Amino acid sequence: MKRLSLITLAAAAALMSATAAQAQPAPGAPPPLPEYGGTVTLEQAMKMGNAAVAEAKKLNVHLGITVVDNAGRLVYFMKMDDTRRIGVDLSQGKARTAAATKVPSKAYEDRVAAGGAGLAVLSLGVTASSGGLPIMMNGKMSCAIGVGGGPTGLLDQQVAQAGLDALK
Amino acid sequence: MRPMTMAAGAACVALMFAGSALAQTSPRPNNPNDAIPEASNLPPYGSPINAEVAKKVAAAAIAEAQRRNWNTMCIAVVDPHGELVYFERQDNCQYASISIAQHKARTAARYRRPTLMFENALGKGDNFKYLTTLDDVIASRGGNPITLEGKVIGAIGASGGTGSQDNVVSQAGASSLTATTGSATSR
Repeated sequence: MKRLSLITLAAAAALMSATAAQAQPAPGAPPPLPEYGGTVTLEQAMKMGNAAVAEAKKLNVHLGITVVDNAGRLVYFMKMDDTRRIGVDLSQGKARTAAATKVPSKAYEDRVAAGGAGLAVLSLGVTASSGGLPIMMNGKMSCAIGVGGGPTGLLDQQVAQAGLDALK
Repeated sequence: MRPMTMAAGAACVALMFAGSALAQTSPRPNNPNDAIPEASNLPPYGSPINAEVAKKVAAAAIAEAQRRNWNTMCIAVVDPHGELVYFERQDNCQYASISIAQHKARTAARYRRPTLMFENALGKGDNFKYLTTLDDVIASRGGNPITLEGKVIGAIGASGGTGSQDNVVSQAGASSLTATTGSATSR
């Protein structure tokens, strides 16, 4: 009997310390993902789209620009003149990826580039290419922007970032 | 030998009968689709609408919705192939309309006619049911070709209200182009 209660006590202590460990992220752990919340208005989406188009014109590139809500549904879309056709699907795919995963679509490009077990992301239906960014409003994730069709993914991401910055 | 010849003969007769039955498929009486028009009067395609003008066309449609205090519309503008060029969703739009607006625009572009024509034709009765078997048809008003100098350069689709609300918004967008000056197409 005495021995049993000792074991119970030890188990309880172990459980408590495990809970405590969970509450405090281990050093080096990635920051927690944002909560979904709020919605994007058409006015905000257009503001982002216009800023992205302005940045694209400055860089002399032709792009597809997409804003989706948290569910990945289209709010705003613009295909600039002479955008290569794949830019349409890329921009929408990147926006949906950022909305669905709460992280920039670059995260999946990096995982694929690293190879190994990370290649499993290819089975998730994500667009593993830079240019999709989740967008926070009032501390919560509210929508996502995706840009595609440029010469490199990083350039697409730069244009997406210009769109995001327009909300600040 | 003889039974075989007989069998072959019977097979031949059966084949002929089947053939003539197919050839004799007769039209439904008084089917208006039997009339053969002398000319096709659909407008030709022109160069695809450019992004700037697509945005203006959508803005005219949105302005019409706002003038009527509607905040429920999705507006899609497509090129002559039906591919998306520009899209806006108003804040109080039902989710179904995101794809319906694009479908209406696509159909209006690919068939070079307002989607109201499909809606009206289906209302005429059984002889027009076949329309629902055609590729990409949507028999609901709200999709209209965007024409410039008699050529189809794209199409606009609106969805989110009743069909009649959608169409008045869509037409406001499509008809706004005549007032535009300068180049409206991307090539």
